Amino acid sequence: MRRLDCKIPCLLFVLALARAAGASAQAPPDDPEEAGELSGTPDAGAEAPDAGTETPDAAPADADEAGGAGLDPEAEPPAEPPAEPTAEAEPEQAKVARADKPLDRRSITDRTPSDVVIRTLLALLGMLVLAYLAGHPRVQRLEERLGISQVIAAGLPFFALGAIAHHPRVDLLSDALLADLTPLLEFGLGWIGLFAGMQFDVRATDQWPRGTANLTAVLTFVPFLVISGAAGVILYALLGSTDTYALLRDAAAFGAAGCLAAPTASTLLAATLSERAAHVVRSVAVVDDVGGVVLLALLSAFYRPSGGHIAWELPGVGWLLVLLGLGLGLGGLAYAVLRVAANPREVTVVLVGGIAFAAGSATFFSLSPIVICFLAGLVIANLPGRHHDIMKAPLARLERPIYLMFLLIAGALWRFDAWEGWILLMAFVAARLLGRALAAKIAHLRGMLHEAPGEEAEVSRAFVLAPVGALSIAIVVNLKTLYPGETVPIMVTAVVGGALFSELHVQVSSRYLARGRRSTPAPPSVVSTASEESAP
Amino acid sequence: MIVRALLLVVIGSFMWAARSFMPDVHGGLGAGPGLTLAIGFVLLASFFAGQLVSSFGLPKLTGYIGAGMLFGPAALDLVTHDMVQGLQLVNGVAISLIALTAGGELNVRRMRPLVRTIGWITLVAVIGTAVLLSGVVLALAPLLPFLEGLGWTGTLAVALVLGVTLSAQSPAVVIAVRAETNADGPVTQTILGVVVVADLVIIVLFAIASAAARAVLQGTADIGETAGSVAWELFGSIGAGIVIGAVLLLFLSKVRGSASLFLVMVCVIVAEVGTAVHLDPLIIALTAGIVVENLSDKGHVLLEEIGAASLPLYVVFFAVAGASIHLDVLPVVGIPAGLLVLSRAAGFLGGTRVAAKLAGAPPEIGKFAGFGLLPQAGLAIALSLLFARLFPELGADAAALTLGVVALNEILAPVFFRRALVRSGETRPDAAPEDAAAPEAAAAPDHR
Repeated sequence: MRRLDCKIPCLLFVLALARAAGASAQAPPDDPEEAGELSGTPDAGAEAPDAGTETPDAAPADADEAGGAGLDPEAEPPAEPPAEPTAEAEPEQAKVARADKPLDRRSITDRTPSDVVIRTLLALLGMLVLAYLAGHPRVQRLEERLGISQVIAAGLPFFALGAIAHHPRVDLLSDALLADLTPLLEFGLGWIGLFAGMQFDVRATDQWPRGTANLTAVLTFVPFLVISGAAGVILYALLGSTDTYALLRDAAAFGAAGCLAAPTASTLLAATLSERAAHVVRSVAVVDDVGGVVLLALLSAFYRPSGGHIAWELPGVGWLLVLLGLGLGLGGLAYAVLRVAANPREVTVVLVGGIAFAAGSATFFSLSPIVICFLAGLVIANLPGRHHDIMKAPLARLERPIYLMFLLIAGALWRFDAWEGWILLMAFVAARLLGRALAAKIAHLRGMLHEAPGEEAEVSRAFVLAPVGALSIAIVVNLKTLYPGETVPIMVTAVVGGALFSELHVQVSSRYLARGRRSTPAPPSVVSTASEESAP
Repeated sequence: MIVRALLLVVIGSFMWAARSFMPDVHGGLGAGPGLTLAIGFVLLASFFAGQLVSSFGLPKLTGYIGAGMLFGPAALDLVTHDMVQGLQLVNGVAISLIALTAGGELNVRRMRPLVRTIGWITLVAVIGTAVLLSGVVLALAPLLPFLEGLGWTGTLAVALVLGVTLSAQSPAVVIAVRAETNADGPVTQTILGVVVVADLVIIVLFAIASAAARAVLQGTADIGETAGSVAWELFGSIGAGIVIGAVLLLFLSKVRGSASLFLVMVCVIVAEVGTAVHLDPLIIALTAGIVVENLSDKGHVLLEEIGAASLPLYVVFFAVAGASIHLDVLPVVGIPAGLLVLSRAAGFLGGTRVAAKLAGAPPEIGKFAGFGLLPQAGLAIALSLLFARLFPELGADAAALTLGVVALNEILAPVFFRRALVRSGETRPDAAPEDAAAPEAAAAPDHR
């Protein structure tokens, strides 16, 4: 799995290069001759104004193009340029894609085909070398000695990689390409939501420590209030917004993303906790996902974007009911289709199809795919059947690549050149630490840590140090698809940066604390971390 | 079966509800919600349609194609034209993956005894059928209004292009049906070899015929340029395929662990970059597969890894192929298209019998191998659309005719092909339909 960790970013770079190459060939050229040549590409019929004058040499290249819909004569010359939709008529999601960035599809059009081929082959070979090195036992031993496997497990290098790939000088993950990858992003959000939902097998609640619900409520609600308050003040100061509605929405969303903790907290701090205390920390970290999803559901329903082609007009409560119905309905549907699947390969199809369908439906309704897929995951996890066993292999195979791909795209959304984001990041880190410390203190004072007698201080510290998890990042990335605007990129920067900080912080602290205990624990493996984080 | 049918109805109802909520869905930049929804819907609906038709003894891919047709723009329009356009990336990847599978199946040592037969069938059945179809088009000229006023030379030129276009086959369907039936033996291997070789032959013939026709009709063709272009496409693709094959070989040999993600990404690269630089992704991937299979002992690993990731791509690919069928043209061009389909079938079946006799092949090859040449899918659709674009002066009727023929073959031929494989005795009765849904079943080493 660790080898795969290193392979995936390289693969995605090459994918981006490949997509960029395709984009460069599909871009409408200035030169009419070039237009004729480029019309050999699948979409050229729709994009090049004089595709009908294609030169003969392009013919065979087109001939092998699959499916052929891209060569549809209906889209053929002389193709009218697509009419610009009016602001009123434009679908909300289209606005999301266009909101704050100009199109730069032609960013590498100055590259020649041979340049593209050479770059691609070099990237392919480089990827091969990296994959080989990453799988080499010596490299793995070095990683373990340096303790960097945890960072890799958390996927933080993917943020950096996505950010680098998005940087104008590199320009592999351009804004236009990111917009094209929106379905992948939605699928990733749905996947994370489904996994979070599938962690809640009600039959397992008996094993939770007593008082977990109350403890979780305190540890979620207090940080939520603190982070939301801080975010509201900072956003108001930075942006000077007088739109109270948007300010409240953004602050609440920021708080919802920040109040959660990664389920890996107990693993990362295992060296400083007894098994019993680790169980308390882990239980809270798993249950607090519900709080985050509930907050996101409320936001999604009551602050739902409106306008465009949306045909229904409902109050917030109505949308909340739609959200619930859709999530539970699609969960039931997913459960039914999973029961029909006979083997892991068929499960893969229905799982991928089901998540894409649920996430796509959610975005279609301008609702959160995380919430809907979370509800679907709840249904799947809690209804009886043999699908639990048959799902394990496909889930294990697909989980990591999808998760890391999602993180890479999230990294590309990280605008580290926006200073407002850095200020919000500092506020986020401080408010989150303060909020969690306050919550842990309240819990301690009110005797909520009774399940870890004698280790209250260690458990409190674990709660404070608990890093930001995938669901938090997913929530804030989801905001980008729900509420386009100038605030969301800043919040993405803050939460992603906060995740990076909290991850490093917990790494350093756990090592320091473990040394203080004169014990040298072996760092938990990537596999165990991943499975704990996402296993149903 | 009733449960599956009900599920199909429920999934369709969900999609209908979503579409009614926001009816005006556009592809492209703002296609995110529509496209994600379309991918999910196509996967689920096609999967259940495949299961449904398999209970009637039909190939699952007929169900995938049928679902695409039913829910696509030509019928219910739940998957819109823009959504179909958005799914083209999946198509390119699937084609590369199919070609990689086909290359991985082509073991030169095992196929050596069949080379003579493959050569004769290619010559007699494939090229012969192209000539035959050209003749039929000439004979049907009075029924085809778009040929009016072209004169004898012009009509002949267009007939030649149509003959080549309509004789295209589908390696994808062959691979998929073979996997589903778990078939292996001389008939299956011969069909596989012929469709792969014929694919290259058809591409070359189409380039030559279309250049000649354009020279006659439009006076725009440059023979030297066309030759250079075809050479670049063929030899450039083969060269690129050798390099990709070497990279795959290195990966499979040196890197431990799962390679399925790597393979899918390589296919994305092949599909996207290959098209961008006017190379043929199908030939690149095919060559790469042949390199891995024949220059190493990693061929079975390659096929196993492909199998781990391919089923969703295959389902979407065939569903999109179905959604791309222009059903509306069938009533218009029904009679000539029907005659051409029958002529094509006669050419392939008769030609294969003659070729098998000439090659001294076992009688089963002559009897059954021709059925493997009947199906049409991606390549045929692409050639048909390209034909329409290259000769806009012929109007929409010409495109309608070619697409009508492809539509009929796409719907009907897999059924006959599957039946022929079963009758040839090369299918494995122990292969349960549910376990043999995709090429992965054929990719397992013990099937070889």
